[in-house]
Amino acid sequence: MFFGAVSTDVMAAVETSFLYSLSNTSGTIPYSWANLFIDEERNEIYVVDTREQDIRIFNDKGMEIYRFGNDGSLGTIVDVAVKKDGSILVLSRRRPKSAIILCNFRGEPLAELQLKNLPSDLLNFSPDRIAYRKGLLYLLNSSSMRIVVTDTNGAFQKDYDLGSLVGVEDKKRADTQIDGFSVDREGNMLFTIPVLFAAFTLSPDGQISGFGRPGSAPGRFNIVGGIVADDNGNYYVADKLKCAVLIFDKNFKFLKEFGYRGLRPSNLIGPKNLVLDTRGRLYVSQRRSRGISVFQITHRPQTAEP
Amino acid sequence: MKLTKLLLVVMAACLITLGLSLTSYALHDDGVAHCDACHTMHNSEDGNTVAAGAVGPHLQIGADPSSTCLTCHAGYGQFSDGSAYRAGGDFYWVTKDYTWSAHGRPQASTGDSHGHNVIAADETGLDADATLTTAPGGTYSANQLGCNSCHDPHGSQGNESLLYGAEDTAFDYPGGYTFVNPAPVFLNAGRTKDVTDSDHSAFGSGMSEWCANCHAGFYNAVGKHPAGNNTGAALNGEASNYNAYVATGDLSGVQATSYWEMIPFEDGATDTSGLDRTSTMGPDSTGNVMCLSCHRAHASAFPNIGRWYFEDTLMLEDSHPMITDTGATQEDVDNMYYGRVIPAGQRSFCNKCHVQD
Repeated sequence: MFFGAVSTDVMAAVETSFLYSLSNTSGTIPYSWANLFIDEERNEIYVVDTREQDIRIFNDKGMEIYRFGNDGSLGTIVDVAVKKDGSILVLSRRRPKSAIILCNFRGEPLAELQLKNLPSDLLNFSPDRIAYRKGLLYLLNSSSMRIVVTDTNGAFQKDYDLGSLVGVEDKKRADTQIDGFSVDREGNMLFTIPVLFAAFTLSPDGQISGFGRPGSAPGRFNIVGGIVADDNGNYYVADKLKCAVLIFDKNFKFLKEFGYRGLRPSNLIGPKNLVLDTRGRLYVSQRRSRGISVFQITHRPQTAEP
Repeated sequence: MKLTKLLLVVMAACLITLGLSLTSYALHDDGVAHCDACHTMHNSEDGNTVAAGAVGPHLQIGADPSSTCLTCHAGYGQFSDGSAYRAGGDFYWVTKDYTWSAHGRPQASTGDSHGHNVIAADETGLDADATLTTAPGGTYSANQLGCNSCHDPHGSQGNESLLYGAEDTAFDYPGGYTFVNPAPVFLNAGRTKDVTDSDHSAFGSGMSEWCANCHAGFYNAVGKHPAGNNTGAALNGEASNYNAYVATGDLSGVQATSYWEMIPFEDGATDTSGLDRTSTMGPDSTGNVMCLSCHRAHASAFPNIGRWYFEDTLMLEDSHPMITDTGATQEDVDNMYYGRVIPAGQRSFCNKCHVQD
């Protein structure tokens, strides 16, 4: 029962293979828990190093091609997104509210994006994560468990109270917190809550679904981190303590997990943030200066369970 | 071998008890709810054993206890980028060395001196103290220091900060290290909260005595600043100074609004029922100085884990890190005083009690 949830046939439906780690001409860059963004228009990977306070851009071969932000001009960088036209939005931590800084393709600041027409209860909203999808910005405050959606000019479109949807009281939100956050191609918002050992999907019309059970057996969650979805509807969830990435199908059925703590290239140590590019490459940020590991995801026709 | 088998049996029992339930538990609720949140039973890859030595002791998934703790607590601001204004302080500061020149001589404020140097192999920069081999004023080995040196990962004492109590033995300390003094009476500000003068930890009693479990030589010894629940550390007349002090040259404050998170005190309470995290009330004469009145518990931007730069004359002008220091960033300078507005001409915060400015 407890250990019998894994089907060997089903597990073979998705294959993963380690490709390389993001590097420059000196070798693998020893990131720890960096934030990631995929610019799908240009097949470029953005990596935010909150410790070194810079943003590096990598090409589709995993090699560094540009770096900016390390001159202090962008303040305390926490996250980044790239608009369709290539302009860059840098989320910078400030008090009392963080700032969204619009930059050109060189990373030079042009203006500060102001949030407009916010409802009265969100006037002090201060995001700590940013995502971009199809002309919309998705701004998350992980402590208050709120998402605000705006257009690319900062005009309010919609908001989601994730805490209410998940059933977390206001006073417990700061100690609950959201960790992983992404937006899939259909505009579904994906997020994880480590202390609930759970991952969630939220459709644009507000329908929420959750999955996950605590445990260390395959398919169970220890301390979940990043979450992304592929075009087949599969979900990829990083587990920081289990040191693995878990894969679930669109019905949240566990398919397989991979990585595991170790020193081989294909192993993972503290995987946290995930992004997936248009060619099925999964980028995994880790701790212990292990950098960003890149895996090729391959789908095979799924055979029936015995 | 027997110990390992016993551990496996206990952990399996926990898994069967907790793992079959559909209920989700928060970690550390009534102790650690899930053994397998921090320990692994199935650390294997497709049936193969993970590389030898890669798994932490006691089947922890982190390389060591602190690495395991920081898997979650780094994200709560305990090891961030200095911008998380947590009550205990951000271990980020121990990774920062600042150097400058004064009067033609090189000066330094080293990361080692900025905090308790917890060892976390999975994190970059959290290594054993390179200067001290034992706790100042005590014998606790610096090469054994971790989160688990002060906090009981299994929370047997029942206090919200999981601090060890009297007769507890620090987890995993070779040969054992037994605490003599009980856990302090206080309410912590919360692991995810930025502290302010109206939202902070609230201290009752016993903090300095508890620190003395490792730093006994600093506890009310001859030639040391008094601290603790005894007459020598009572604020007495300094309470009036504390309450009146607003800034250098400004003694217009009143007790009702005089509390500074930057310089907390104990009110002498022996249980937590009357403690208030939102109180802005300053002390009365029976309040007392404690170690944490001047030092943070985890780390700060300053030497000696000071809450401020002890060597300055003028805080705004003299505090390091300065933007001109090698190793400093503008963010470090902005964050070192937790965003507190320091007026020009402000002299050392020692004056909050002593008013010598």
